[in-house]
Amino acid sequence: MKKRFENYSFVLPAIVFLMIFLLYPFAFNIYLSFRDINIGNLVQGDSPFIGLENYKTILSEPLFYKSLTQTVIFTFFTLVVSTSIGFLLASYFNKAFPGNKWMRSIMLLGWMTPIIIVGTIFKWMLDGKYGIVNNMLVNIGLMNSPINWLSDIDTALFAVTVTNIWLSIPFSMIILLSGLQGIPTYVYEPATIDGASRWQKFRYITLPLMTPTISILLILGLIYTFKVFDVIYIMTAGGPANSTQVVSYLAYELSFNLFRFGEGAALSNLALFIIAFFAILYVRKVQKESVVH
Amino acid sequence: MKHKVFFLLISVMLMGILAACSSEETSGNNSKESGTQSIELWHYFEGNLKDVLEDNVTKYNESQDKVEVKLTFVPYGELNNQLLISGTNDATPDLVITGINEVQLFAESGVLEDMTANVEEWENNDQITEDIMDIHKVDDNVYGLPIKTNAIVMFYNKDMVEEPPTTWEELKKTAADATDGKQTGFLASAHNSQQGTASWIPFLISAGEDITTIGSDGGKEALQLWKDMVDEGSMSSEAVNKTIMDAQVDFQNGNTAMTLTGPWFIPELEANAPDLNWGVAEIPKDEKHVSLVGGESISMGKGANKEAAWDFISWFLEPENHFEYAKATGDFPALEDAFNEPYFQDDPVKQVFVNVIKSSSGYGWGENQGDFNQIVYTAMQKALTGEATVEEAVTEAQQKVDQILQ
Repeated sequence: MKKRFENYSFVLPAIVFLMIFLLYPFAFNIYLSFRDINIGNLVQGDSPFIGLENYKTILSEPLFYKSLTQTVIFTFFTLVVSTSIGFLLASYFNKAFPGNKWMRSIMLLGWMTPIIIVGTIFKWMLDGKYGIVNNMLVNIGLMNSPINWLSDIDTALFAVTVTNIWLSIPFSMIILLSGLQGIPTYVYEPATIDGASRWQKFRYITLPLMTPTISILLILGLIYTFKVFDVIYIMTAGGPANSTQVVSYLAYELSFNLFRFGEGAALSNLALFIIAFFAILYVRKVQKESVVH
Repeated sequence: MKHKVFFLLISVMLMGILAACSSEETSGNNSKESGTQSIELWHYFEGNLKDVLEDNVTKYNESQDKVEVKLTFVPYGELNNQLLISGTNDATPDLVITGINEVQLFAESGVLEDMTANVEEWENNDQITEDIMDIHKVDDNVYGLPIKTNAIVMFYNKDMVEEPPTTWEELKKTAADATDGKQTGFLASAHNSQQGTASWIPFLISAGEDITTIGSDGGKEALQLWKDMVDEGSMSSEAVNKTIMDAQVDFQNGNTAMTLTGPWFIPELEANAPDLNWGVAEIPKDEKHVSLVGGESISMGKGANKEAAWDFISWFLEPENHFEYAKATGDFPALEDAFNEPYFQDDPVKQVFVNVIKSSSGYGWGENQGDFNQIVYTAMQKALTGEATVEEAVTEAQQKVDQILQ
């Protein structure tokens, strides 16, 4: 009995930490989402229970669907493009050549730079009138007239997605590189002897062995990108005319600009359920694979 | 049995932590042995503004021994939330400095103390303009007093604009004349945030309308003015993604001839572009020159030690102290006596600000501030990007406003 108690006491700090910093806010957010709580009744504390009313309000709001669609587009392109480019770079840095480590470190600089700086610089570079991007594209003749990347409703989502891709590449590269380095060279040797082409080696050896790494990267990327906030906040604040509005920024606006805490909580929970759905899919998949092995 | 012990232990620990969190001193009106009452003042000032406030509080604390004011810094952006949260567990501070336009919001949410009685007896209460006093009132009760003010005015580049425009027609023409391949004539923020709203609202009010009549002809004309300038290219179409600060950068780089911003821009302009030949003027008018008043106000938190709190407020707002304070902050005062000081009247730039502040008001939107803000900047963004016509944008805005006011 005494021994058992002692053992439990070792996990106590972790449990207390979990309860205070994760479970409590999580549970409280769910509680909030069922209440009519706003600036008018927050202090008085008489927020009535209104069942699913907040969820109904959110689901009947066209802006929710707009921002959800935009979040999905944003997430999809960020993941596909940054993973592809990350893979190319990882394959490149997986080879030994002079300056390899040095260049790899420089790649990471981009990842280490605070997003507030990256976002602000991209905002300047993409400026329609004085931005360097327009300047270069027009000067080399790719475009006739400048494009207002961030202030045109047709290009703003594209522009913030490109920024986010740039931000995500180094992380993808590092994860994929560690995966590539985990593949022993001897698995390629028989293939070389059998006369396999480079493509065949990639398709039948590298890719299958990399699948677990890519899956992890995609699920992490999905979770991380789906709840994007900072890039949007800095570059467009959801504008122009909500053309870059995403779910998490909308939730922030509801809670902290409009002080509709109940609706904000409901929206965050919806986003959480969507992410949790993918996370569970992934965990199932991983479990199945480990059973097979 | 073992599980019971385990969970018991956890609950004890949790309770201990919660108790530790909630047993923090309740906004300290506990008296010391000498009879000094200590009160707490929350503020979000940093840098020079913080030093100036500290100097004033030290001076006050040394000037008498009844009340001691203690300063608590809460970061800007956090203060609003912290203040609301403090209201939910009776931990509001005795005094709090908030944005001048947020007083009504907090008063309606119930975190502030009614100070009508004090203000009515106060000998300087007639020195504050009615418009500015009104944005501190809810149902005729006063919940705060302004400690410093500012307003958005028009900055213009004297090398590009000879005579600043005074009417909307002149603005259009001057902006078009000042536009060439490199620079645009006019740039104001139409950002997807409060900054867009703040920049355009003066035009709506100048047309004789306000938020409740945004869908009127005046509202349409006010937005059409911006839309026309964007279409003609004399206002950068990037305006929808420019914060006020972004617009300032374009102005100081000579990329735009006119912009709308406040006095906070002056030190930056002097430091970053000392050679720029600039001036300030009132925002061009339709019916009357107006702007939007900003700045800070001081209020008492719910359950404050009112006597001690008022003692500090009345000292802080004695015309002389008030003038010195406004001067040191680089902002503007709120009392007539201070407005009339030669320091403000004899300076061509400061005089413009003083005149604007005296003839303007704040939002006065109370707890609808967040919603109204969003309605306005959404309408601006839709119209200026061409997602909707001006007519559609203001009509939609009017519908949303009506819905909220119902």
